[in-house]
Amino acid sequence: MKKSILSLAVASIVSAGAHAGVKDLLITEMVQKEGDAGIGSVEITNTHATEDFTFTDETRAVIHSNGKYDNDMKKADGSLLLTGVTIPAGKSLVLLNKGASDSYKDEITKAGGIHLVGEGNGSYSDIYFSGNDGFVLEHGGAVIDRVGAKGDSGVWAADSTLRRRVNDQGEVPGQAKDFDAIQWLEINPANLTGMGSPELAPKAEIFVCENLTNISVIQGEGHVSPLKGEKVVVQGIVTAVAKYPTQGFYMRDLISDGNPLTSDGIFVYTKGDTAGLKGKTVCLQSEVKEFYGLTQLSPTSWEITDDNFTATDAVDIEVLESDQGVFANTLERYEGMLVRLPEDMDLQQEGKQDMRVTKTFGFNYDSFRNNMTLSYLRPNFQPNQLNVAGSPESIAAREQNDDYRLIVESADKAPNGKIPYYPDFYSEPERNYIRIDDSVVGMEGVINYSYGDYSLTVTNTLSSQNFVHNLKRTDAPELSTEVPKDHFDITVAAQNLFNYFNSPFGGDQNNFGQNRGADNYEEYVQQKTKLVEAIRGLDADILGLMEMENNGFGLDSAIADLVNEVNTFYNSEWPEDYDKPYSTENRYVFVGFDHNGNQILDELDSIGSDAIATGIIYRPSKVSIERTRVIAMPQQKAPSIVNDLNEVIKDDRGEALENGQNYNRDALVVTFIVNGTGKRLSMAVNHFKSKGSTCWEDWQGVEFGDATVWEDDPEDLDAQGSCEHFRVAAAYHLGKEMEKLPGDKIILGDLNSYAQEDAMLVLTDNPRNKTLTTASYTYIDKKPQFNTDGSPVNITKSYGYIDSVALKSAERGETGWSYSYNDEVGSLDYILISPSLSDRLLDATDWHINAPEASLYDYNQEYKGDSVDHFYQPGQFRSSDHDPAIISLSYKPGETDPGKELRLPLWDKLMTAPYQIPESVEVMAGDIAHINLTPEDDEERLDLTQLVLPSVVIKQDGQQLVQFEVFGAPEAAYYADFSLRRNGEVVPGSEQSVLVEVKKRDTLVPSLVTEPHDSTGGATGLFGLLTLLGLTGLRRRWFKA
Amino acid sequence: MLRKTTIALALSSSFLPCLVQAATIYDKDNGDYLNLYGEVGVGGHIGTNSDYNHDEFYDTKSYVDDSFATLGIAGQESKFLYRLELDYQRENWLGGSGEFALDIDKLYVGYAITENQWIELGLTDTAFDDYDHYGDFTFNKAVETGEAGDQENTIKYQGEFEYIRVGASYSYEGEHKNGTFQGDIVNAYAGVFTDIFSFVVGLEGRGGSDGISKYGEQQLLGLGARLTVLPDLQIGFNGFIEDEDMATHRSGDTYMEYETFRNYGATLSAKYDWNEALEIIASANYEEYENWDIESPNYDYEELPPVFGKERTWGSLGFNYRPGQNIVLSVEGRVGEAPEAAYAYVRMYF
Repeated sequence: MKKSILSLAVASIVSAGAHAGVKDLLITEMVQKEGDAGIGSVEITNTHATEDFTFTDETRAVIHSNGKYDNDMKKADGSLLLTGVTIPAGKSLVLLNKGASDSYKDEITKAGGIHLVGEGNGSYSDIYFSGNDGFVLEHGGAVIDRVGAKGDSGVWAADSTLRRRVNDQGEVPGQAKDFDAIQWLEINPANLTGMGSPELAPKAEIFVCENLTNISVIQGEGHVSPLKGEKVVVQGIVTAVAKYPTQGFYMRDLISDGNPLTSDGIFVYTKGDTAGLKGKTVCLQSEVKEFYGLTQLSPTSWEITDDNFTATDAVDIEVLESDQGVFANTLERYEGMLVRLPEDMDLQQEGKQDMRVTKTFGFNYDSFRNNMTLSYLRPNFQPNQLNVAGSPESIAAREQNDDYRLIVESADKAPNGKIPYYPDFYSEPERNYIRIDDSVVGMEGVINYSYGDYSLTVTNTLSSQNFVHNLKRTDAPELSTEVPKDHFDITVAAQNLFNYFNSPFGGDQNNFGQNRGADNYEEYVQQKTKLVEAIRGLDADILGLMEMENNGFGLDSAIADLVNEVNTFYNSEWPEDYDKPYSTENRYVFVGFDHNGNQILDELDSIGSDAIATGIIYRPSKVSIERTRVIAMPQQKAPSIVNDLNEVIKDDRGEALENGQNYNRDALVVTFIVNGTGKRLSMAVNHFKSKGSTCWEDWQGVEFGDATVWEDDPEDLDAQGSCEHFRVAAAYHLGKEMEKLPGDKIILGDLNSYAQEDAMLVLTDNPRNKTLTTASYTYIDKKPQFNTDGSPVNITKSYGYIDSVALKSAERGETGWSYSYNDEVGSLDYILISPSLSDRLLDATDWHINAPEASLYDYNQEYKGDSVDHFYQPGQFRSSDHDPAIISLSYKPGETDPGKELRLPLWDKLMTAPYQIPESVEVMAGDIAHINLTPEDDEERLDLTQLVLPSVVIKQDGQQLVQFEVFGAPEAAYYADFSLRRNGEVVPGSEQSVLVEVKKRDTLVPSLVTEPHDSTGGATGLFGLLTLLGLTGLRRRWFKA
Repeated sequence: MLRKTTIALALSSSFLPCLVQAATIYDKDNGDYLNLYGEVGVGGHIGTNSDYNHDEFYDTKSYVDDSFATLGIAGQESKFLYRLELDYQRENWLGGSGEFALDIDKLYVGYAITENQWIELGLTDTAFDDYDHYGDFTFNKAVETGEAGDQENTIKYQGEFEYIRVGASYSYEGEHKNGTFQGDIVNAYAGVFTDIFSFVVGLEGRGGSDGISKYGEQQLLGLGARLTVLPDLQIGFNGFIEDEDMATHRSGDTYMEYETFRNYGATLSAKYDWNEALEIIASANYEEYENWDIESPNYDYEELPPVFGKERTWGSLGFNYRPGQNIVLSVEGRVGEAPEAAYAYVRMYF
């Protein structure tokens, strides 16, 4: 293009002598790019030779936003953007986004143009182009000129400069109310050069359909076309027309070359509606382009050479050895082709290699529309789930995820809740769900490549047959509770409640003035219904809960509200039903924490400083509380993040980018006694700081300069998200505090860390000695956690807990996971057990009721378009966004921790006393087992008049366990003396004496529990005192340096 | 109230006959005697300093009254000893009410095993209390040793020989002076006493409250010494090392997680007899309490750390003036990290 000629062209059309009018205005250039609004801009030229043009309210700039909404562009004060602006004769005005760079503005000025930033006053009145927006000049309410088709909501200019062409006579064209793509030269990627200059593009060239080039030759055998940059004439059959991921159509060679290493199809980038082209044969001329890795053609026009419909059979994608294990190599061979996802993609391998759902249907914040993502072989596991964060293996896993990813698009935009190619999904959502890890078989579509990912735009209509559920929906977790002979099981679970708030619906107020849960009563009922179903389905004896409203432990607290509803199912009080699912034996009670120490459990006992807290419920029929405790967890009190001028930097929402104040939820700790044993089980329920919002560390090293607003996310090289150091501090503190508790221990909850991330390495094991650094400025209450100057420390200790779900999943050949984020899955929810419990662990599993499901099924009514409540079912599925985890442990009646008494709960004056007959005794049918109870403390003067001590006749040889049902023993400590008699004589070696504590079973009303003293407070007696006085070395630190 | 009234009556009836002077009520030839004794003191701490006030005073103000009165009888019948002593004092320590209160300070009977060995049973000083400030010549006592003081349910042995003095006591279920349970307490001392040089070593052990109060086990080693440098000049040293367990966590009424805090204190003092009526006294003092130390793993961050840091040093200079045999006027000025600027007092004995 020769600028001088075109400038002349502009001058030549000017009507000499006349005043410049609106008809002299012309939209001459536009730039827009998806995801980069800062370069989005539009150029308006005053084509009059001599007269300036000044805008009035009558002539307006309007953005045709998303192809749907016409928005007037305004100044910050709300007045129309262009009013009062003058464009000198023959000059151009460029309207800019407020993010436009200074260098861009300089370029416009150099080109002789003027520029104007469209700030807007809210309500979409700012200059903002993002790939799918049009622009209109209106005068007197009527459109006078337009760029971008009316109603085109597709991303029609993903990364484009559109420059107006001269007309066929080589003159400045007239205004056009309708958009005609042929009038515009498109330059990809977007190029800012020439903005501000009135220069126009040359007219479109006419081509002749001859000297044809085959598509397979254009595609070649590599990732880049061997004909890149060359002008070709191509004839082919249109196989599909799609708006997503990029607007255009796909065409194939009339006859395949039969070479599996070359694709027979290609994407043709177009604007406007080309839906009618499908099946037709077209001929076109275009330069061969590599658009960010996609080989594409972008012709100005095309010629239909055969108007008849010619069908195209989809080709099964097949993995070849020559792909060298790189899935991108496979897909590259099918780029632009119509393909099918078969049941088995790699015929060289055993089994079936298929595509799995790795992100179920829903909104995708990367592509900013509803779609779905598949992955080759398996769902994408978060790289740190199986590999130490930051390790080469983790980086390799991330690369493999990128390689295996295939985004599934619909040809037209998918409305909320509706999948255009799978209508049954909407019509019968309770049956036709799509879950993560489903195998997708028989899906057909065309392969595209955009923003670094391959995509498949579906062309056929699917049914439920095309989605094979590998992880089936179940009504209960598949957990083995099979115990050895004479043992029984205790199940422990962790469940996230998805922000269960009852304060707006009659519950106690929380102290934080927040509601993160249901927005209205209907949502609340739906949320509660789903959670209750999930809790009943879990059927755990002890359940740790996360994301419960932090409104204390009164009768109207969220936890009381939930437990009361759960308990309504357990309604049979008949003793004969004790082992039935609906027996009152299964009722729960919540653990109350008198956190403010006023000896009352009420709404004032909120825990920590967040609107949500953790909670614990348990079955008094199975365990009893010995002690409760709140472990205050680390808080970060760091400086705010400021720029070089010491100004607090804000984020794009106007909040402080990082104010340095960050929190972990305090841990709730309960020590249970397993009923019928003397075994203690201490459990801490946790919810560590999330990965989402940042901590002070995340911004260190960032050069802010004098910026006061910062929109970029911090760098996350090791994929741990934000605050990994803060979670290390939390894990260390939790491990240290738990060390103080005796007996078996469980740490459960949402640790906001994938299995091989730093915090987990502290709690479990750090075999590769990764350097694990805490956050800075961490405090426990008001006390510095480490150094008084706030400096961090390296944690060299690991606490050796065992990830029970990972352990048992691995034994089953599976990988546990509980959460889905973007298109990766991994575990955030854990039940970690101390090594002392490993022999008791029967089984452990995630219950995949939530994370694999689409959020359409949750209780919320937002973001569902016309489908509010359409997907809602009163079942457990998508009751939360995290999957629950559950484990089963094995206990033997009568076993105790060393030195601890046996806990025998009383229920209606009855209790069961277990007698484990020593293994050395040969037990014979007909032997008679006896029990005798002697109060430990004679002075208690117990009323034993109602005491009934039965004798039990052994029914079969070898029986080792006898359960005595004792009636009428008052609450007290006793010595239980057991013996076995044969023919009236005590069988030698059968006698046992066990210290037991008889205590009423915990009630279904939570009660205050004071911790028992921990024996550190002294009272050693006179003899001990004298020993102390004898200078045993003035205490333990006498010789301390 | 009832208790106070009853004691007030008891005081009145025994106080009236001998209001103004000390008296030997009887002194028999066989050695049996009954003495009435007491003191009245008026004065207090001047210019208390909130920055340096660790746990000295119930309130920080210009003048904290420290007035005090005591009245007691002590006697002997055959080999049996007895003593009753009532104190009327202002509860001016940290956590105290600031009001006057009457309490029974001593209530014991004793038995003289020999002329120089005896035991006491009841409410009395623990053994080391008698010598816990042996090397401290200041009128107001400089560095608190922190031993158990008066305790109920105490049995004490003391012996005084030519140059040696020893003592030991056991207190059942001892209490802090604020009434908090501390557990059983034993302490003992042994000393050598000559005209030129004397010293006494004391030990104390505390059983701890077993979770009932914040006080856990404790061990204390104290040392007091005096050296007569010139006929009119004595110097003294007093010091202690203490390991005290204190609760760092509380659940309901149960205290737990007792941690050991190491404390030190020392006083170097000197007394010069200007004449028979005037003594000049100076001291240099050092105290270090672990719960002042922000670097300590068990520092309680509920309050800001003390201004003076983990240790405190100060000095004093003052005089005692005795215009009569049973009257002392004392003024003592303090410099450094002292909780008060001065202490002034008048005390009369009878």
